[in-house]
Amino acid sequence: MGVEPTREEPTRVDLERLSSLREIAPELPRQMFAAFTADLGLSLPQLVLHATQGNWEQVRALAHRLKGAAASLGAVALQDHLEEIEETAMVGVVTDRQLQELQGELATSLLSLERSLS
Amino acid sequence: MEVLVADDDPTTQLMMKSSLERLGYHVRLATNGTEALAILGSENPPRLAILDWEMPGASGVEVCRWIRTGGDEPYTYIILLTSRTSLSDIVEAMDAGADSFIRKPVDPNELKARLRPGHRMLDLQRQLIRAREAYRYQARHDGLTSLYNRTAIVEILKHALEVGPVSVAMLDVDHFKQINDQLGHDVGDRVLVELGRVLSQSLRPEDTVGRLGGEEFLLVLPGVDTWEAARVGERLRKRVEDLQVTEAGRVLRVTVSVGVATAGSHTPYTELLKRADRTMYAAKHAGRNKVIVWSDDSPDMVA
Repeated sequence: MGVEPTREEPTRVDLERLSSLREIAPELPRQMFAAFTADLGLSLPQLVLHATQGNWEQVRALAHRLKGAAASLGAVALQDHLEEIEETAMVGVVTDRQLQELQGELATSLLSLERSLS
Repeated sequence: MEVLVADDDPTTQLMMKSSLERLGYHVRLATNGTEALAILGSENPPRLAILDWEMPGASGVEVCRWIRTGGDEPYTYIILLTSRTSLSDIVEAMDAGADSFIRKPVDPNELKARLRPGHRMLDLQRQLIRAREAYRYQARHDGLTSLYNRTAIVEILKHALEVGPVSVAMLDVDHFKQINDQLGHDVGDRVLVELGRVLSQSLRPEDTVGRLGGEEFLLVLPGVDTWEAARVGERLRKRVEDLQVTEAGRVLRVTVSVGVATAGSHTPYTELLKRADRTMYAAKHAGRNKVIVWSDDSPDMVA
């Protein structure tokens, strides 16, 4: 997954957010990251499945929840992608292209988050 | 203080739990609206609740509505967690009974600030309930003996007469004026307190005792016939006779005159009180420290 290093990260990941989470507890961002990735392992395949079956309300609800989680971690670019999917699912059809872009953004954002947390 | 966090997102849950524990809260978690309802509907639920607007089972707004239909006492301070900020959303949430909002992603400082008014409101309600309960107690209890006061014991008698036959025993302390005049009112008060203690410790759970006023007490004995009531009166007379109130190294003996009367259900309570009063005065005239039972012909003396 070709990710350009740090130059992109400030916009992809809200470092201030991570810093404020560290103030609550130094290990908190890492724990949240672990919870997020574990959740994604279950939720992302579900989201894709619902999209292929045209269950748009379920797609919307999952995108909404994942958007909240991404926002909590400061993954702002991912948050934007999920918001777009949520809004699209609310009124119509989420395209394969949107899903592919989401998966691409996920991989990039998770890598950026991991780097920011190390 | 305990706080409920209901959110279906594990990442947000983790963040909320850490933030709240850092602020000294004990956190209970629910992963959907149904769980939140079960926790808030349980015995001793958290009085602070932070509910995600959108979650499976029941939304935060639905949980809110349900809580408010259960009344406001004790109050649950509800904060909705949401990314919605439109005016219509705010109105909908407030109409459902939410007290406040926190926007997602939650800022720890905002969280702290949003919880503060909740604390103030809950503390204030606790104080008001405590004050109200104290006033309620005072309205029904005698300040000196802590027994029921005249209003309360008469009310209890009225209710008992609606259910079935009732016996009453009216007790009056003999020579109480002399105790007050010769030994002082504080000694007189101590006699009344001791007497109240003896009376309340000598009754069945279904019986009630109250202070009618001055040195006069009333026992309400539901479902007890005249002669059983007379036995109760006699037992109490003896216990009071055995009571020792010490004053300045001297043992003070106290006696009571007791009038017992019985009436069937729906007899006016005033009639029953009048009978007990007359028999109590008959006991006084018969030499005091006696129990007299009312009969339709003439009062009968027991001891």
